[in-house]
Amino acid sequence: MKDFPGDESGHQPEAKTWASRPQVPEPKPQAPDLYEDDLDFRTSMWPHPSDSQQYYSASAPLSPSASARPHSPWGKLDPYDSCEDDKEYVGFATLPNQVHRKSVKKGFDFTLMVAGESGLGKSTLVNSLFLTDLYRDRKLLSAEERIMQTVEITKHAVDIEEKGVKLRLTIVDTPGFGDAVNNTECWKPVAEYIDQQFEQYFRDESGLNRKNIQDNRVHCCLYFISPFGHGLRPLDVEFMRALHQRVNIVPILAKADTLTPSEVEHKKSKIREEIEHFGIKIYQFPDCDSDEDEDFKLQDQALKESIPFAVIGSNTVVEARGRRVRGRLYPWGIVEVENPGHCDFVKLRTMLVRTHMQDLKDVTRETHYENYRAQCIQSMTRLVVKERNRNKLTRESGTDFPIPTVPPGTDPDTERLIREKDEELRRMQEMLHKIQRQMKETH
Amino acid sequence: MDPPRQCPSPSSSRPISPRTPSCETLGYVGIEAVLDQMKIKAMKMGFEFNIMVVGQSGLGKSTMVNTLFKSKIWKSTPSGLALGPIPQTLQLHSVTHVIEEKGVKLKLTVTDTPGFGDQINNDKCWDPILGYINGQYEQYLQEEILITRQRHIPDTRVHCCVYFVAPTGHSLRPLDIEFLQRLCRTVNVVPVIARADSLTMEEREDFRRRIQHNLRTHSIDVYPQECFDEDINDKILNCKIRERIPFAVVGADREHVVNGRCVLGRKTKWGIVEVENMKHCEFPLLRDLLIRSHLQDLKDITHNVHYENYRVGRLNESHMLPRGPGWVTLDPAPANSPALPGPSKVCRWAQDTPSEEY
Repeated sequence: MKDFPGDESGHQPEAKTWASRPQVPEPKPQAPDLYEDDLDFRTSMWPHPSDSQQYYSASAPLSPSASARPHSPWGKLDPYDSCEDDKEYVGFATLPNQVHRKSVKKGFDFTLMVAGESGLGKSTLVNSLFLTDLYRDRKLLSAEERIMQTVEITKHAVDIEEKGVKLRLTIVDTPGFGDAVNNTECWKPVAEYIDQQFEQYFRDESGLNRKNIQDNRVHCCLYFISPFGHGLRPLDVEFMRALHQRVNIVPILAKADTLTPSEVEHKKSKIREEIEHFGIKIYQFPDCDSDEDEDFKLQDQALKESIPFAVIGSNTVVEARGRRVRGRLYPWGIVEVENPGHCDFVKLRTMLVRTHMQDLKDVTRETHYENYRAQCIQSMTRLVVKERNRNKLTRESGTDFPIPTVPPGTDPDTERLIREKDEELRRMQEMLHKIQRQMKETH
Repeated sequence: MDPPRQCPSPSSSRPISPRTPSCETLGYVGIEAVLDQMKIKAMKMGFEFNIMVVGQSGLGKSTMVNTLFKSKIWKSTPSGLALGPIPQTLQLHSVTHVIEEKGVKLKLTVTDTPGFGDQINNDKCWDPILGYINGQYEQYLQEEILITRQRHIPDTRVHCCVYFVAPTGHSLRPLDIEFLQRLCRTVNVVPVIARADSLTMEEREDFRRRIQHNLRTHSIDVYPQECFDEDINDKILNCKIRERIPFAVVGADREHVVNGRCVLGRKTKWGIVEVENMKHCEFPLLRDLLIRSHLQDLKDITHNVHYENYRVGRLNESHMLPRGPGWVTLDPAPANSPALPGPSKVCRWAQDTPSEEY
């Protein structure tokens, strides 16, 4: 008899009510009571079509016949429990509910990367966005220490739960970025990190046991642009160009409380122009359907025109006009973080968490990861073919390799790379063999 | 070399920008809006469901499918008429419909198996069926290992196989046992007692007990499988279902008037058997299990367990690496042994630690 997992509180998430379906009572925190004789028939209110048999060709839509409907024993999350429809439905519109229940049980995860020079307010913004205190024990480095520092990649993970929905948030930080005197290729560690996560996911996905794959791929990168310059600087351009094929970039205009509204507008349009000019592909918001109502379209349009988001972050609560708000207190006034008139923080948070989180993950998964995977496989092909050419492998593995002509490696760099890849390939093959041996033993 | 994928243009297949929820309280991040986003995406993409019905002819399979989905998916073969020659071998017929209800689109594929168990010698009549099921897994696998994969791989794998047991009233027959043993390792099987209007209530209960006993004796693990219950709520719910498996069902696609109401049923001289009346038969339970409450679960178990088992088997056989145009050619799936040896651990979440990999 299988043992149950430890948590047996049996807590059921609240039923989410969407606009389209009628109100349903909250499910009780126990299994619904089945098989009770509580079936009640509802009489049909209007006459059914006289011809009860319905024929149709294979592609015609379903035509339900009107008749009484028994109360479903599974009916707790049932959108059919209203008396208004007496027509008989098949019943699969509960599918979104079923998926919902499973997702809530499983929880979500999201990986966010923040990049930009020090002192642009990255940590404060992250804390404000997710109402956490990730950077509580951080100590700022002094000037001497900073000279030695190279770009590191640090990860913080935090679990957030709201209304029964669990989110595992991972923040990837890049301290040291752009801080040195010579910043050539300081984006390399970042790009390598992203590629490493892709590679790990690729390995896990191609492996034998796919039950508990950890998804550490970076879903979104917030790039902080300094408000003190005139638009984008060369470092910004190079960084974004290096990463735009690997991750969704959302540019952010940091510390926007140093700018007046007209300066903000001016900078934003300048940055947008330059992004276009340099061919940087930042994250695009999906369009809304043409049949949506006007103010939704306006909202969507406003979102698109706010790039880059001019944000201010704060974790301190101040009193403003009798209310307690999060903001920054200056002698000349109080900047409120969550005031849409003061900055775009609310827009950013809405976009990131409430409306576009799933889309960010989808684009990462379907586009960036697939590109990486395709490249990876193709480079593996070339290397395996080279190896095949050099050491004549026997045909025991049963695979047939057609032999396209590969140009011979010229410079020592490529040679080294090829050697490294060879080693990797050999290791992977060994691992595969080991796993096969294990599988044979367990049978 | 294929050009790298571009980020999808905003107006292509991505779902629309979701609405901003109205609540904007202090100290509230708004995570559960992610569920809304998922819902929008799912509604736009639609769902898929593939069901297979297996059983001897005349047990009411086509009628049952019509009753389940409230439409004439198959033209049910009328009884008493000469049908023409019984097919000599088992054939598989699939039909696909897209049905929509309350904004949810479902692409339904029903596979029928006429000729099952109808021959004189029924040995190995399950082979074509297993071959078909494994063929669908193979197709999905091939799509999954391509270099340039589709965004959404079309899912033709069989999610559920409904097995119709003839209402003899005694117990499972050898053919039933052989078939169920092989199939329960490859696909989710839901056995039902067909044409249950030929049994009285007591006979039904006895028959059900005997079938459950048979299933236990031969260790046939039908859906919902015990080892996949995730938490205590599922376990309680599924236990209740397991007590009533196999459901005694009656299918009908004609309507009759009973007490001023219009019901689906079978009319006989001694009364009308109402299909949706729980006192008459258990059709509502079957429909609720398959469609209203466990549809997603059926798909998940097919994807996470049965398909993974198949994939592991194939990986071991042919040392597979991802393929693409002009690269690796796989050993073709062996045609003469469609039933892969069922691995002894069919548990969904591996109890052994993940450290034994890599």
